[in-house]
Amino acid sequence: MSAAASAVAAGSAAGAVQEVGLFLEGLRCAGCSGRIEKALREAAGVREATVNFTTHRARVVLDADAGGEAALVALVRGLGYDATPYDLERLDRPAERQARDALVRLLVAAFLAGNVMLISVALYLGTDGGLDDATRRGLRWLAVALSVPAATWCALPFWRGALSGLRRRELTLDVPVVLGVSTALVASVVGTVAETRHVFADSASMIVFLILLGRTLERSARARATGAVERLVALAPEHAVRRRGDGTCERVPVSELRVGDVVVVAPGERIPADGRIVAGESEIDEALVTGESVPVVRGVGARVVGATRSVFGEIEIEVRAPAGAGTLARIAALLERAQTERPHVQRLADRVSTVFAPTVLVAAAGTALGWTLAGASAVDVALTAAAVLIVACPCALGLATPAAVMAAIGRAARLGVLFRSGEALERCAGAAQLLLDKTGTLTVGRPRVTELVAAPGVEGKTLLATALAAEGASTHPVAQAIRVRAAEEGALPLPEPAVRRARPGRGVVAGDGPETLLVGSKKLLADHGVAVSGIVAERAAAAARRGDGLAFVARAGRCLGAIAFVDPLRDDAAPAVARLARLGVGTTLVSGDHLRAVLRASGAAGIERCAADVSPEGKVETVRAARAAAREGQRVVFAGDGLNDAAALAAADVGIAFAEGSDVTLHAADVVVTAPRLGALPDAVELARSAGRRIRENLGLALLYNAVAVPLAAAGVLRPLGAAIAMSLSSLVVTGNAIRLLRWRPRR
Amino acid sequence: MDVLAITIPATLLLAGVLVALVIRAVRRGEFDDLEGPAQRMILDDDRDPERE
Repeated sequence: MSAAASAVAAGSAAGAVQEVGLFLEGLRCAGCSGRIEKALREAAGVREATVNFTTHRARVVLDADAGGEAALVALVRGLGYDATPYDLERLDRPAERQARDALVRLLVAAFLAGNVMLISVALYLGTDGGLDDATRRGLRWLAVALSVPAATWCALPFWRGALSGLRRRELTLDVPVVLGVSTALVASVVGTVAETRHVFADSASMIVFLILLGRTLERSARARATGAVERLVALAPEHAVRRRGDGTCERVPVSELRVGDVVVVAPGERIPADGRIVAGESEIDEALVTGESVPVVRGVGARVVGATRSVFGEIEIEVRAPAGAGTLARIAALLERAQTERPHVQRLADRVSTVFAPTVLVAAAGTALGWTLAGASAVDVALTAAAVLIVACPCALGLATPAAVMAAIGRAARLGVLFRSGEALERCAGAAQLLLDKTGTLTVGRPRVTELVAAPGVEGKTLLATALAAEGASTHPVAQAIRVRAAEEGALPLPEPAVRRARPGRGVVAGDGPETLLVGSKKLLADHGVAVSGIVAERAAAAARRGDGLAFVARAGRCLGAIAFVDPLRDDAAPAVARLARLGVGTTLVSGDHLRAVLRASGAAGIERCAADVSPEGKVETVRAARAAAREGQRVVFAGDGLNDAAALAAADVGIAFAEGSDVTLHAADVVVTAPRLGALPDAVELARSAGRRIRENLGLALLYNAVAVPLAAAGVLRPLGAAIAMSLSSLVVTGNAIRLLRWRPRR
Repeated sequence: MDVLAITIPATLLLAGVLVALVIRAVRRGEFDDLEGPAQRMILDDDRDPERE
């Protein structure tokens, strides 16, 4: 950040600068981020540009008069990626400050704990190591002095957590931590002043370091998962081009749009608000609200939804709902409500600690009382009670869950499954039923050419080449499918006609005169007086019965054939469904698509139950019904993509969103899948179950350790030295057990 | 043993400087993206535009 800040400082001398944040879409590898970064740096007026590949965000410092965000967005789009500006102050800074703050505390704690440990080893060796009394006293004071900042400043997050927990009348895991740390510290100070045999400054700083380490690891895993989610917020456009009464245009913030305003939407732009088309015609990619990957035609009079993208054709829209009251806002509200309905699931470790913390306190107090009654000296009483508190310090217990959760989340991330919290992992382990959306989840969400139906005497290659020439540089999914197939077949595009007109919903007309090219529906051909007959008509009809889509190709008034395409199932759909069944998870396909397409997809994937023509609200109802029917501890998982599933994702026990391709991730999702595999679902369930076993083992180990060690300490067998060593060992055992998850592999 | 009076403060000072340097690196955002730089260095598109 200071690099950017220094650029700002330098800029204030030479002229005003601004800092812009951009969400980037379509990054595949670090090469992409390098390319974008290079282009941004070379752009006019840019002083500093960094692309963060982990979070898919760019930060650019540029001269205030250099054209601003719009120029940068255009530049990134020119490279073949998408960019959306976002509010740096609101989204980035708080999380960034927190993460850096935690890292600094961890480093300082590591430094302090390391040095205190070094000194303590010398002290434990004592006179055998040749220490004289003066040196010994000096070293003790030094160890205590170093552990004070560790137990106070570094442990500040624990103090805050414990206090806010107590204010809510809850004993969180922070309470025993704080108690153990402060007892060890106070006992060290008292012991140093009174010159007792041992001090335990090392325990105080080591406890802080170990627990900070566990939490930092957990936080970094979580940040990875949530970072992608925030991009959704940026999907709604921030500016619109409004047409004034005199016909000229002005650029205004979306918040200033009023009902009745007319806005102009250029091809490829997102529509700023809900409204009605008053001029022009376009195909609109409504995947955001309907989940359907094929754009739909909208002409004058049609309603359009804010934040959906106009694929081609310039349109003018009369605004029907202001920014805060549109469909996107309603979906957000629906989401919020669905989320508040969710019962608050307490973390397992916290549940244990509510019993654990008071037990330790009682044990320590009982020990002190017992030894006092037995007539021990005050120093012995304090020493034994402190040993109990230290040995019972919940390091292992504190690490038991986070270490396993972190290892599992880290392993899952490498498999392309991002868990947003430990809770999501816990709930995923209980999966008993999976409701699955079709487009983009069970299928890849991109159409693919399945068959080339060529007229007699026409080669498949010619068919593709003709279609390609007509489509030109179109970004329409069908055009992309044709382009991919053409590249595979080695079909070279014919020279592109100079004139090209899109007929939304029908297809494309390219060129004028006798050589006119047509690509599109049968209706388009009929409009131009081209008949489809014979073998082409027969085979095309057969493809349509299978559920395929069709694009007919004609040239100079003659039908050359048809290209059949389908949105294919994911390669591993059937094995993934079979694996889920072996895991005891029943799969149901719930789709908004028509019955024929749904039956075809479910049949191919081996899914026995399916429902077609289900609206987004219907999906929420289905999820609720499934949850109501589920037995105690059985979780209902919903997997989908697109904003239309957001409410269903939130209503389920576990919402899994597929973010691959569309790069749109969801607030409502507990789990975001970035891998283009359906196998990610059984992976997630199986891994979550393994993690659940590790967590239970770890909690068992931690409690066993306490059950053995606490009585030993209370009996005075285990002195503070032994207590500190036992405490560290138990943490190591628990961490080692958790780390086994990093090598987890799905069972075949 | 007297030598400890010099060596220990010296060690702490040195380690303290190192910790300060690492903290500075954290604040500069050097730990924000741990993935990109590692992959970027093996990519071959760092051609010098002036030589082309």
